[in-house]
Amino acid sequence: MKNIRLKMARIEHDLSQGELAEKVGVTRQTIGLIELGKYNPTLNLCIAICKTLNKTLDELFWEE
Amino acid sequence: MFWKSKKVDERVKNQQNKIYKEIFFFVMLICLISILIKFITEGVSSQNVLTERLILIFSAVYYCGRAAYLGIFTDEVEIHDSASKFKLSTKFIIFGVAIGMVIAIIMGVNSAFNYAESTPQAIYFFFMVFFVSLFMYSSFIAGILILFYGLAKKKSDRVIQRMLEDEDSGDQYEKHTFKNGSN
Repeated sequence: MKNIRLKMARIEHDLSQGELAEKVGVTRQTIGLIELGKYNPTLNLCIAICKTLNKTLDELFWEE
Repeated sequence: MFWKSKKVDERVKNQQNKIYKEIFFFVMLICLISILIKFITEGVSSQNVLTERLILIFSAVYYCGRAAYLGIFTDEVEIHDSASKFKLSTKFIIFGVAIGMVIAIIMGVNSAFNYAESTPQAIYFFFMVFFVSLFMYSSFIAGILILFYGLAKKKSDRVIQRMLEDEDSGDQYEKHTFKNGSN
């Protein structure tokens, strides 16, 4: 399942996938795969992404 | 229907993977020590260390192949190149030349000790065999390594590109077009 909220949050912060990837210490491909729902990130990576984008885990990763 | 899905605890799985990694490291270390001991006790011969060579070469080729087919080789190169002063491809060439040099030294020493009848002849044999071996092995090994690197990188790039294909648009471009409402 695609993670549109993550993509929107990233764009709100005017960050490219590569820029977000560099901030959280992964590669651009990993961020791309998370947004596409093809990679299940660890909690540590989720937290790093949330902190970078000033969002909570619920806001970015909780599926309704 | 008949198969019960096996429960997998992610903490256990992670710890198991750590153990497998350590086992792999020890197997490689044992192979290298075995090669060294055999060279010292039985003399330098490639036939004596055939099994060890097969284990070392097969595991390296298998890892490269799997990494390329899963698309993670691209990421590995990217992570390495962004953090290191030398590119991974440059390191492959240096590694190939270094291996060639080690082989050339072994061959040179072997010729000097086994075939020369006097000290000047031993020195002459050493340098002659060393330079010929260095030229042959270094270029061959470095060439093979860079060829495998190129093939693995190309395959990995294609795999990761296909995995990311569903994306609406690219990276930098997407950031701006989305904001402007044109995406």
